Amino acid sequence: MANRTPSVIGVSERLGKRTGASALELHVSVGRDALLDANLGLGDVDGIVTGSPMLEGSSAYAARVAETLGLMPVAVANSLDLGGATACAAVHLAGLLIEQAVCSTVLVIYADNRLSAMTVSPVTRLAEEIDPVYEQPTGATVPAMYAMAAHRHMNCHGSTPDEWAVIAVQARLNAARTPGALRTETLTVKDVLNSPPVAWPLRAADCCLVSDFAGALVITTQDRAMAAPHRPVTVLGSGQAHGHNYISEAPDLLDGAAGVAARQAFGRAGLQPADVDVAQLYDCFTIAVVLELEQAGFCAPGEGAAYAASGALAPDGQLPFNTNGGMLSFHNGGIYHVTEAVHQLRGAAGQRQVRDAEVAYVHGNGGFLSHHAALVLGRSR
Amino acid sequence: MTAQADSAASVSSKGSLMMLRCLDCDSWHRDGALSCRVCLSARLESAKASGNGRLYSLSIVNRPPSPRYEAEAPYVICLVDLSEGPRVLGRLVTDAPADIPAGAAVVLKPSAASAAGGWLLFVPQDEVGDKKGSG
Repeated sequence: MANRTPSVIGVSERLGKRTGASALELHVSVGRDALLDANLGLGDVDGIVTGSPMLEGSSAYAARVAETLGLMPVAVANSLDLGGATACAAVHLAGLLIEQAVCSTVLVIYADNRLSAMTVSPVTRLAEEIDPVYEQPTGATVPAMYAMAAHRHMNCHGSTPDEWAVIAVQARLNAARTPGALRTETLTVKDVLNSPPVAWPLRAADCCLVSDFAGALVITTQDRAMAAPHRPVTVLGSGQAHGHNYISEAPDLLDGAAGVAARQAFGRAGLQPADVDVAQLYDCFTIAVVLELEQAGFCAPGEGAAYAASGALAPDGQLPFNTNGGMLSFHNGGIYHVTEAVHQLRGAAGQRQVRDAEVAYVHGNGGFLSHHAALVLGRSR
Repeated sequence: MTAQADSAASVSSKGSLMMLRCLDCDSWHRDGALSCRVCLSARLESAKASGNGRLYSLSIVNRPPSPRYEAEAPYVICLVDLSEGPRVLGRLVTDAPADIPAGAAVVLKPSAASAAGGWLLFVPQDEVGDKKGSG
């Protein structure tokens, strides 16, 4: 019987804080590079899943990319719009399309010239994503949304800013070993605690950087993956869940859809958090990593900050995380969490390679802890 | 009662917090709700809420979203669980926000500025009478 397990056979990244490129140009260049990496031609692809550029989007964006790239006709051209969950949700969708034989090979692209195209400050533009009716009038900001989760965590679990500061510090150490990382200068816990307050209890160094981003993946059936030039990376399990959209509607800021998505992914993979060798966790803010650690089951509820502070996330720790430096220090986007997991499972992560990495967990978080998608990826045997 | 509200919840000229109550299942909704999210009824009527609630969480906004808010910064935004059920985002007026625990009782403080700005202003129950809400 044919093995339709989704397998990643091509990967590409384009880096640069301000690339100066159009969103469409970013999509086409990484899409092309991922196909070259997979040694496939345009005629081999019958599906495309993309995001939706924040500032240069248009309707049916995936179809626009497919047409520009030369992929038409395709069976599926879907553009997703789930903020930080988009990259993982796109891989989740691509995997389902392949498993169900809707498509045989899907190109996943998540790219945006978000910083190049931004004409106002990022904090101003991103605040427009907040509920315009009920929330924006208060003067709320995106960092303040996550800060409220941090405040809640402090109150319910006794966590402290110096504990989650360790997440930013470790990310910076990892970035220093990653070619192309945007922030590599030394960062200490003291530096984090002394960085300018943005939205108490979060400070500037708790917040991710804003940049352009672009990455792509080619996903096909395991059968087809046998002929690929690189060792395939298998999508062992994936999941997606939404518990709320705007933050006023979140039933619980500390527990919800993140755990649902993670349990789906682990359940489909037949694996446990303890089986994971390397994790790529969506780190728009340090506190988001704390919440993902807990809800994905890497530590007990309430212990995420203490777990991070224990050194567990270091390259030689229990759960090496964000090995390229993540959004806190490498690049914005969420796509690089996925591409970095592929590099690690290919054994191609250079200086930052986690030894014998066989299973990777990737978590995407969009909106205000709203949208979640999780992937369990494995090195093929 | 299907007109879209332009603020978190309407504060009437008398300082009452107006929300919507479902005539079929008695659940409460923020002003501007289009139908009942509990029973799907379209029969919602305007009703006066108590203005009492419990602090769910807060943050001190040091870096405001736009120049329009700069003169007010730093200010405190908060999530409040109203005693009627809905959770709302508003502002909190207090001298020591970092010391106010989640779960603290808060009350709505009608003010001309918050009504004009379209946001709700809360004050910790303990501080009622101590000061005037200035926001």
